Amino acid sequence: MTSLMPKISYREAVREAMREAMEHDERVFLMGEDVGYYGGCYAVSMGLIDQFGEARIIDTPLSESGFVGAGIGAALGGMRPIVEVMTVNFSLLALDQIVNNAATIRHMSGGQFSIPLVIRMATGAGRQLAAQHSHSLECWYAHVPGLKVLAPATVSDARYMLAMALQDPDPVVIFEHVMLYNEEAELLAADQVAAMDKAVIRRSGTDLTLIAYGGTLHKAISAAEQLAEKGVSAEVIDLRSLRPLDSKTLLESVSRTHRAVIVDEGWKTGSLAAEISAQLMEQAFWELDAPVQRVCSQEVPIPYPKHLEQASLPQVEDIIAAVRRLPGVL
Amino acid sequence: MPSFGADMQDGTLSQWLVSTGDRVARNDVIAIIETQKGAIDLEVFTSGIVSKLLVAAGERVAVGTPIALIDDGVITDSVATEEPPRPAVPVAQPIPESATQACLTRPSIVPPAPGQGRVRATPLARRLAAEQAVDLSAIKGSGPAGEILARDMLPAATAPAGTPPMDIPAMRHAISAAMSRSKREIPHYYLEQTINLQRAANWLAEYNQDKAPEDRLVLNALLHLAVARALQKSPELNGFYQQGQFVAAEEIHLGTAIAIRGGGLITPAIINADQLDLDEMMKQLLDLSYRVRNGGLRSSEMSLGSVTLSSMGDRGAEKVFGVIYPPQVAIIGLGTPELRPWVNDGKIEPGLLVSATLAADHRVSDGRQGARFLNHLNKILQKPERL
Amino acid sequence: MKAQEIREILKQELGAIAPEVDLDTLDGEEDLRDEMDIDSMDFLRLTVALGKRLNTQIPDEDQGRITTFDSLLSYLIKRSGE
Repeated sequence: MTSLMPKISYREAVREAMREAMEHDERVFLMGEDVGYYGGCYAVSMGLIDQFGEARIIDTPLSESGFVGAGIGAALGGMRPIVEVMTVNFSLLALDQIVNNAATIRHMSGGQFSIPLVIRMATGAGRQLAAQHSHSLECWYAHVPGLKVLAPATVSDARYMLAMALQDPDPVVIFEHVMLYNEEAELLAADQVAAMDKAVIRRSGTDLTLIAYGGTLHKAISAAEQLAEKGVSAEVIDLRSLRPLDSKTLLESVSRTHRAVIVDEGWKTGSLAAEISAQLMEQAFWELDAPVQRVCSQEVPIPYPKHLEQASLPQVEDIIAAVRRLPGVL
Repeated sequence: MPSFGADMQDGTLSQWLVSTGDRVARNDVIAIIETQKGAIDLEVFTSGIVSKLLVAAGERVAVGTPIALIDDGVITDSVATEEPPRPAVPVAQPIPESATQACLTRPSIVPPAPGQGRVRATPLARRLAAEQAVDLSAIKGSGPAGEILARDMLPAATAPAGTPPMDIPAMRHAISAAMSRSKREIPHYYLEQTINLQRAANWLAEYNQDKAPEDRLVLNALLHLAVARALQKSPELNGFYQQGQFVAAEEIHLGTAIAIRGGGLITPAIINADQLDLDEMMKQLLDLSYRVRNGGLRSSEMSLGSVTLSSMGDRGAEKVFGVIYPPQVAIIGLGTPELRPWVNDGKIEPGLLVSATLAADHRVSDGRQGARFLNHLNKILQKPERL
Repeated sequence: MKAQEIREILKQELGAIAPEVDLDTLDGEEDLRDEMDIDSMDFLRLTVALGKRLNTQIPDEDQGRITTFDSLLSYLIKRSGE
């Protein structure tokens, strides 16, 4: 890894990805609530309107169903729209467009039409935005055939996965965890970033596999560092793609370490962690030397007060506690 | 119905010593089981309250049939030894929760029920046990509630130093059952012959002289191979007495008695021992003594032995008269070789002498056949270079 | 190699063979095989291990002379000094 690269933030990485896409492909445009003159509610698109103008950076009315539907229509008409939805909570207003239209049209048209649409949305808690802005509903989308669902957790993934998503002929939903926007890191070269449907081993280990994505990746890495001080070697896998899941990488890792802890900010019941756990049980049962553990959010609407919000989310100490529940490790 | 030996097909529950509602503690004798080999006291493997007797006194049932329920409905069908591995079934039970609680509380983590009646082992440990043909019930688990983990299956590398992988009380029980049965059922006869090992010892010293330590042989390897070779001519000592008749074994799988540090004894078999050469025999013995200490013995090694050798080694007693391990029909004993006077050609000279004994099953062979075996063994040991 | 190091190596290798024996209470003048319940296989394994650790080879005919912990230790010190 070179140290010549300047550090940039996750927010800047997403912005540069969009800028590059629009510079290289005139079919690409961005629309969403306050993405233009305000610069986006998380300031991701700040300044883009000055470069590309109102025709390509479009401030929409507060109607998720309306502007996501418009994005689907534009994609059908040959454009490559990027639609920003403020949070996954608000995306529920557009669920009909995304699940009933975007995800189905290729199938229902017998392959005559596809929807090359990219929908970006913020997800997750930690900024004291209370229950209606803080949930992690990625697994709802990961449930739906016809969609691809990505969760870039690093600056470099934020920078390069958007371009991969734009090249995909089908709708791709990208989740950006709100706590990641200020994260800074050196940018890797584009060819050092894995394909968008691949999980990546962020840290190698031999005793257990921590499986995380998006906002929980850094917590998993911190937990792995603390575990290393206790003599436990934890492998950390960043899922990156939530649909399709890169089951092969997961199964290979767990077949080596024989233990898995899944860290998922979604609620445990019916979670993505549940799906991964089930796959490990189905396909790696005879490799397991301990019950699969899940570290998820408490089953409450995410609270507003800071201490309660933090208490409701998966934390590093919760991951360590889950590792302690694995017999024979700590 | 537990199995008291690989050859047991069924058993008759001759008497219950407990009744429904009784509290029993692990190792209590709860019933007497009549088998082809005699009456055996059935020890219970767990503690609890007898909730139901499933088999009435006098009934004969196949091995593996549940015979009673203890405590919370887990089926008792096992003593501490010789329990065949069974598939993992989760034992956790859901904790009832009110509907209103359920929607706001996280899913409960149900604590595992204490191990009862079933070997608790992880899937990986079970897979390894199947691959290594290891009987899980003979292994002591190192999990928080005694669960068997993969590390309990693997040899030394991952096992904590000094932790014997075997369950010594269970082994004691197994030795007790087998030896009691042997003394009860097998009419032993005993023969002894003194064999001069001086030639063998001289030959060995010469062989080892310029060898690196890892290539050297010990006398015991030579003795093992000689016994295996001598058995080739004595099929009536190599085989099994079952269902009232003797069946000679086709191959010579020489069980070798190995003492376990801290007590106990195990007799893993050296498969096709007579087909090995000296170096191979040495490797096998080193490997076996290592695995006895560090784990990794296979149940095939534990069950295939067709005859047994009990060798005292260089620090034991002068003579050993063995107890036959049923359903085998002979055990050869070799004492500790000692330097003693020996008459050769009318002159007294020092000789490294060993007492070679044979305990054999009189239902199958007689003293004359036994003596022929010891003579043959003597001849082989006088020509060590041919081994 | 210092005598103290050789002593430590010897104790480590003995510990590997008989982990349950408390080497600190071992009588250095008693027969090692009796004290530690070591058989000929164990002793050969010990010889191989010590040979590797100390980069020396213990000839077969010397095995009979080194019967106690103390005699084995002084033998090893002498050999590795050669």
